[in-house]
Amino acid sequence: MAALLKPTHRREEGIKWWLVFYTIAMFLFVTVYTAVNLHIQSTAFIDDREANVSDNDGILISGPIWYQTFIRGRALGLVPNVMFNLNNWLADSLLVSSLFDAAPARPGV
Amino acid sequence: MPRLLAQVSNAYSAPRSTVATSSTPQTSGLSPFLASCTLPLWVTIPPFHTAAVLQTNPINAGMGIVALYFQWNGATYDTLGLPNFSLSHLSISVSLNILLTLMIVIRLVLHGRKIRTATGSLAGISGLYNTASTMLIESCALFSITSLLVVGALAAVIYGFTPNISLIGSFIAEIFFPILAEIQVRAFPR
Repeated sequence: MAALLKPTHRREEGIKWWLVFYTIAMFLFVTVYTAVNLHIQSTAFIDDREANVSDNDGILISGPIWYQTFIRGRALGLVPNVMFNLNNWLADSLLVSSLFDAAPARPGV
Repeated sequence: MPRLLAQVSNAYSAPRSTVATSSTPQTSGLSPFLASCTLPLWVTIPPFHTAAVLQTNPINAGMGIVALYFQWNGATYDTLGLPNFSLSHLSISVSLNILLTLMIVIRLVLHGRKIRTATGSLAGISGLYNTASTMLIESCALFSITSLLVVGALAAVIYGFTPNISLIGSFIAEIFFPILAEIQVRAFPR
């Protein structure tokens, strides 16, 4: 981020603000992912450790891992994966954007 | 010598299709969008190029959305909808990553070789390109290795011979998935 905000090379081009906001967005997504994921971990392993849930066939199952499996279809369990997908999309788009040059080639220079 | 360097640099700073002597660049049938690409000509061949772009935007995002849809409907790693689409999504992502890194590294190696031929220096300028290539490959390796661990675990879920293998696969996928998310941010804005 420091290199983005204070470019030592290509000074005439200035700060590339789209890259700054891109990086901020990626960090935001992954921060939300990590925070919600850790919250789910603490809920599964501490708060609701003894929770008994029924699976689709009505069989009673228990334990942290099964609790996480159970909660995955809920909104809380869905948030990390939505964030992961958005982040993945941004990351891949950045990779593809490297195929295109911002400054097109100048013939004869 | 500087003139020679400038010639070498010009030959690679623009694709062959846009190096034109006249005022109107010859695009040789490519759209201006593709012709403005600065990679070698074989990369700008429409099917290859379009495949690389299409992989990311609609198809890969679509795979992710379908996987999320399965998850929303209560699918777990035990049922096949979610791991199938997660596997496709991650495989496309990792293949795109490796493909594009190879494209950039091949271009760097070719450029370094051209410079070495022109100047005759063994180290120096061409060493700079080796450093850049190493940096790119190391960034790619972080993401690729972690992705392949998750892809392998998901494949074990789908193709596991016994339920135990599938279960262990889903646990391993659970472990490496958060690591993958953080490595993405670490490795991509290189």
